[in-house]
Amino acid sequence: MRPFLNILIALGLLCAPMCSSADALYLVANVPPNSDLSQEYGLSIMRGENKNWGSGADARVALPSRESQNYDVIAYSLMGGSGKAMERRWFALVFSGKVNAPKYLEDDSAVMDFIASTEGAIGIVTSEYDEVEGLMVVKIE
Amino acid sequence: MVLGLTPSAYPIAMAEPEVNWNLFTHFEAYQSSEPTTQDDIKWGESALFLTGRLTDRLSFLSEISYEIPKYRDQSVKVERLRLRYDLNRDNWIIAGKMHTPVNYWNDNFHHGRLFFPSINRPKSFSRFIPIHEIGLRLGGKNLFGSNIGYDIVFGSGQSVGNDVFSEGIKSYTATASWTPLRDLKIMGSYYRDTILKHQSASDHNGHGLTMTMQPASSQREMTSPVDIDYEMYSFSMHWGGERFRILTELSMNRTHDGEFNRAAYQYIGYHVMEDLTLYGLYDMVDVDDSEIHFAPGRDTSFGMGLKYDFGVNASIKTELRRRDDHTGGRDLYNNEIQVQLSFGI
Repeated sequence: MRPFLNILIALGLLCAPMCSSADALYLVANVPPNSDLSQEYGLSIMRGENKNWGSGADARVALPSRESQNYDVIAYSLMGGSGKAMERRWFALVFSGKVNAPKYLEDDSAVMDFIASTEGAIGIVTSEYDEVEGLMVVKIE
Repeated sequence: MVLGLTPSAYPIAMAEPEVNWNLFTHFEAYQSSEPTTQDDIKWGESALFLTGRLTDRLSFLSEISYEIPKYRDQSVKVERLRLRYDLNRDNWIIAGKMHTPVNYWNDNFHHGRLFFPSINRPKSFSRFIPIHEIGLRLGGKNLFGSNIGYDIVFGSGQSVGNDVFSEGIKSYTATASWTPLRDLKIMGSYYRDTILKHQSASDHNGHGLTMTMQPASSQREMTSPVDIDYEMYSFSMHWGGERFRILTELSMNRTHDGEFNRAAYQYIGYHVMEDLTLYGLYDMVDVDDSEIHFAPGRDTSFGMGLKYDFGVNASIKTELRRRDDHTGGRDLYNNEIQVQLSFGI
């Protein structure tokens, strides 16, 4: 019984980064004046396909850092690849001059702090939160 | 889990300037069946990047490259130095020294080798492609709500180096791009320039390659004016899917209304695993015998490669290639192996 239990524990540890994914992901943005947020456009900003809000102001993108437990979860949801692949893609985009460098943040609360305090910021979190004035939230379907 | 936030606790930060820097470099090893001028071991071009946002609409990019004097006369070069201002959501203007958006490669890759799909740039880059321009670029995407983008560049031209509009506007680039799918981009461009004093230009007859002028080219050269027109049509297609990456670069160019020269680069990569890519490539330039500026002849390479990514910041590529080079009277049949280790710090 004991070896079987150990295998189960080991599998559980291996699976931890992937299995920590929440049921839902939320696109959160501090949308600047004269702009709005649709899921499609917000996700295109998160993938680096678009850079600016409707007003022309640039979007400040928050991505999960390597230390974040959402690193792979959000990457798979956005681009169908790992966190490493997502970071590599952004690395290339920044130095092609097509986008500004994103901010890499460790957890949901750091992402929320950044978005709430930065006009034009956008990110993805795995937790629900109380409504905050000035922020737009779209549950990613 | 529910996070509670109080709006008053978060004073909104407006456009704070930000600067990011990175350094890219690479090392190469090379062996071939025939003697060439290429070193067995080489420290390649290094590039220092500075990018940043100055305001919520204004950003800058600078790229300075270094290569040891053995490989080029000017060791330190400013490759790009440009300001971008976003006019609105989908349109922007860029001023300064930039990469010309004539094809996918030049518009997406910088001098650091880390992001190159293959070890080397397409051969056309050292022959015909106007890599840089100093000038003004108006660009946009999502034109009329479609997936179509555009770029228009008014440039100082290839002949004046870093002298900004010293001869007025000499080059024009018009590019249209179409992104029908998220992973697929198709581009077409037209580029026109005037090569000033073409017989003394650095790229005349292929950067001084040893060449025998063909009779047709000699005759045209004798009757050609000092300044000649150069025009180039390019087509690019890039597919960046989960399993495959495909890049096609085609171009046709001519000088002084002569016959067209052709160039083709084809890359097909299969991601065996996320970090491991097996690829095939074909790279060719074919310059017409009557050409008066570039060295005539055909240079073709084809082969296979393997790329392995170490995390985000490093990769190693190995290529086995066959090269048949008949440029400028040369007659080379060569089997090559090249390994490149590239970094971004």
